[in-house]
Amino acid sequence: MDLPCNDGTRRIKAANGTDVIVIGAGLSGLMAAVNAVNAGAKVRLIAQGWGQPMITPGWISVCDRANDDVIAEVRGYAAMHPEHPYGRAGADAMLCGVQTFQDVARAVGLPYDMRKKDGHNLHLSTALGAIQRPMLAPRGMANGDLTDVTETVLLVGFNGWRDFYPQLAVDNLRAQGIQARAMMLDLPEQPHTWDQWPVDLARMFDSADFCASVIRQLRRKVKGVEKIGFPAVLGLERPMPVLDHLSEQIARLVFEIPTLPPSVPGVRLCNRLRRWLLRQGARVQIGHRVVRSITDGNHCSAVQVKALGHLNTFSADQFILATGDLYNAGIQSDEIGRLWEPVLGLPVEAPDGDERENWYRDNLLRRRGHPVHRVTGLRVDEKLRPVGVNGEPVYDNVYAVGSLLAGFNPITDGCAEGIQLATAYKAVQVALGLYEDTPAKAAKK
Amino acid sequence: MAGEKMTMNDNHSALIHQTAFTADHCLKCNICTAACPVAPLTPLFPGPKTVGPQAQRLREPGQPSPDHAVEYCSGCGICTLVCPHGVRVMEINTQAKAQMTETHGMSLRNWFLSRNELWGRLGTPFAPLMNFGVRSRLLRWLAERIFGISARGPLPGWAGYTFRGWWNKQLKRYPRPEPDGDANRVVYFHGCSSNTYEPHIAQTAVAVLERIGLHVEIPPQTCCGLPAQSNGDFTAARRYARTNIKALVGYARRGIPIVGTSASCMTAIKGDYEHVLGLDDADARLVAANTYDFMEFLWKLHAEGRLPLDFQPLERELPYHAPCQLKAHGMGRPALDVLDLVPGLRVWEIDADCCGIAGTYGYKAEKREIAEGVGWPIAEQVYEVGADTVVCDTETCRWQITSLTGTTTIHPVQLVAEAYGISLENYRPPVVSKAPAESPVAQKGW
Repeated sequence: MDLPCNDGTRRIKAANGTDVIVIGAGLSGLMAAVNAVNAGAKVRLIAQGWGQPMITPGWISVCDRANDDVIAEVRGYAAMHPEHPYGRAGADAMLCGVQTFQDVARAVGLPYDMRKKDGHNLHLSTALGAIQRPMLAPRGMANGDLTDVTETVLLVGFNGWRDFYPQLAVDNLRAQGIQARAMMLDLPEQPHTWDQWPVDLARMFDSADFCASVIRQLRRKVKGVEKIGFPAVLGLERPMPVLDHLSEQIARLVFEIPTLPPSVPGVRLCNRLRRWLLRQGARVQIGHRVVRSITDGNHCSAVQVKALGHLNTFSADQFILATGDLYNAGIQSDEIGRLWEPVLGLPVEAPDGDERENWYRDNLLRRRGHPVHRVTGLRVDEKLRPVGVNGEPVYDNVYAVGSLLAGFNPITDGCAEGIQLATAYKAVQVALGLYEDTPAKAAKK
Repeated sequence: MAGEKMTMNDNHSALIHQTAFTADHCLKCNICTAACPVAPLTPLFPGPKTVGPQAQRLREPGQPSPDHAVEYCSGCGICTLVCPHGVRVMEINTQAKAQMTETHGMSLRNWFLSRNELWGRLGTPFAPLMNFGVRSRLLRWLAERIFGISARGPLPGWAGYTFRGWWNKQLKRYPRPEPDGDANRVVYFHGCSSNTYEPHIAQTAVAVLERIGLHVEIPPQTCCGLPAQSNGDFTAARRYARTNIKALVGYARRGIPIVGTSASCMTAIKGDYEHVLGLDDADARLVAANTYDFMEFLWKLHAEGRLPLDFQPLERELPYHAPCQLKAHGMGRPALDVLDLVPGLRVWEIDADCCGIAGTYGYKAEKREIAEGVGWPIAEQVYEVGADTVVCDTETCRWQITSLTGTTTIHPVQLVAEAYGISLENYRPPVVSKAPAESPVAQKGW
């Protein structure tokens, strides 16, 4: 199912000649780079290391709490909460952000699917058997939608692999009324005794021999089974053929469940987007820590990277800050509770009282999360430019996107990826001067 | 009010500066393990996190190192680049290797591989004989059997003359006028390879610098020390490093930039002397701060409006490999940025972490297969487009790429020289005007 998105994005080369620097290689940074490349800009992606997709499940939460029409829910919420990142970006930007993401993911051979029948939130199991409700997931995960499951769900683990225990998930799924059972398969004998990480298993699945042994072990044991869940390790280099091959040979729908880090779906996505960006002529500079900026009044002309021997200067017309929240490098703190934004020294919203003890509540797994995660971040204007205490944008060509923004809790709100995609899309549109030309406004002209 | 704004990241970095202590920032997220190009290819290497920050907790100065697996780290440094928390994984591993070498001694083979500077010099007068040896299958087979130097490792040939010899003759034949002041001076660091194996690259580089209008100085110098360092021989590496720092620091004090065409030698001088070898003094830092990779230097000249842009169009499309050690510079891809200025030329970056050779790693018999596996994505992408030439900034990578793909490999400076219409045949320096050429437009970005 495709989203109804048609605005300025497809006008390739519209922004030819504009240089854009995107800082951060998480989902919002990568997608800001992709959107800018699509619009014809010259893009330099600079990041200290790989970002959050490498350790998050890999699905796209837009509004987990929506029971039916996700888009309508976001539209309503955005209209009522102009200060919320969705309010700042607008529901249209969310639609287009998700659409451009789906397009590029499909182009690099990693299709992301919504719930087949209506596009509403998927119901996907975590490794603990909790149900999460993202709107979009890599095909392997979306296959695991539990909405209308009538027969048994079989969860498969591997003997001796300590990162996934199917029985644990099965017990929790049963407690929620889902028929499920667990099964353990054998891994081939290992020539060494190192830990196996999810990427190691994923590489095993890339080999036809290993897939064949999995199929052999499973084939006769799937009577009454509707779908089969594996940890998300079904191939690193060729996940789609592996998924199709397993589904076909076992004659059941095969799906993936997120694992402990590193997240194989994230590794797949980051690797393929990097290759895509390089082929489009963008620079992808991972391992470059931006430490300073060169500014003139309210204009930023360059950023400087901590390099070997000396600082290196990278200049551009527009800067998109996608450096992440307090858990990433976007906001930093110290033991006495100071908070700062390390690239441009932008003003950071802090929880009331400014004392570190006010950041948290006593209960670690508090449902609404801790104040520090909701409050801390950058406040932006309707063009996503960070603002100072006076409410005016600090720089006319710096935009903040993704989890760096204040006003939502990326951990508990169930909309982190939606906000990342929405703001990454909108910031690029504004930065490249395409924003004013949205169809509605163009029609008025 | 123009100015550079320093933020708290600068102050903060002092705390996590020391390589070993960066291990404290490791969250065990395994992003480095997922990115490591070596770990998937051998069961003997459990991955950078395991032998790096994880094992680091068990390492104490003067104590034996906990495991031998670190030997299989190629030192490409991809782990350090992908780490979002600033852990210097590769540097920790390299230091652990040195600790291993200290405890268990060094093999004759590793000693041999870490003295390429010596072999370059000694072999030059006997170039035809040496080249015969390098190309003889029987001798290479014997070298593999006896010393463990892979028969498939792409050893270079001797040119039969040295770049320094050529340069001295040049100076005699065409004495360069001394410029006033230091503004237009530049020091060229050729490294061992461009002195004895590929002098044409150094000649091209010098010709490009002179074409730009700079006065080139080539002080005595020795191996950068990287081969010794990556084989765990820190004593020798520090000796090389000290010699170079002593030779270069006088120029650095005068603010004269030091440039080199080997991106890996430049990595050593700019970063490893401090972060790996621990030479953390004012002289070492001053030299590091004034040292530039050749293409980085050209890009800097461009940013300052000092790079002449009268390039002849080159209607070509070429793949480019950014060596792992170049990625570590934190300078982006200056070769691509500069070559983008040449009309008609389209150079695109191959998506690959490392060519596999990693200095001397790929010459070791037991590691040759791993090295070929690491570099294979380059071959795949080169075959995919059917390119006959690959651009790359570091010598061993070029040799490795040639051996993997059968293509010609060139240094980006060779394209710059071609675009400037420079010929090395009967080379004469251009007449130097007092002021360097001003480029017509104010430069920004690319």
